[in-house]
Amino acid sequence: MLLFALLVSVVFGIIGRDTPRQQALYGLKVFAEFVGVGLVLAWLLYWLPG
Amino acid sequence: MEERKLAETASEKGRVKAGAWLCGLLAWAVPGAGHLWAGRILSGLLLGGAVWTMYALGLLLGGHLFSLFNSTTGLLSYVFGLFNLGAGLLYVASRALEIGAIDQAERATAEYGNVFLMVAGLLNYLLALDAFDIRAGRKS
Repeated sequence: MLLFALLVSVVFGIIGRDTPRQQALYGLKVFAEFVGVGLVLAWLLYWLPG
Repeated sequence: MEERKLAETASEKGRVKAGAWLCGLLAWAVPGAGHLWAGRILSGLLLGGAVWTMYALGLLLGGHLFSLFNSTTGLLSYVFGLFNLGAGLLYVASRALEIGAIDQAERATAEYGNVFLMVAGLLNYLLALDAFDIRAGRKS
């Protein structure tokens, strides 16, 4: 999941913004969102009966 | 004089448009190459590296490439085939060499591999559009 989030956030960061600083910040934000949402979903699914 | 100027402008626009289409096509065919061709060396290396890595990881995890023409797993697999096609010549070469041709559903990581392969293709569609925009002058 971390690898997936890293690779996708590299692409989104670069094509989503124009300056290197904005690209780095946006990439970090997307990465954090991927990981955060992934962990929250995993936690929610844990409580669902299998 | 005025007509000549207009003709020159139209010719220049046509050249830019043709260059943009070529750049977009190159970006689709070889992930990262469109940005390199447009002069964005670092971006091209990072973007191409991300797509190539994702594609390679997809194959290593046991993912398989869906066909565009015949399917045994339902209509949705044609859509997945279109996603895979986004990887350009990587997909064409892999299919030709029968790499990732077999569904390895028994492997625990096979579904992850499928997702990696499909997302690599989808990301490369975005790269092709971005390279087109850069070359067409729509993006700084």
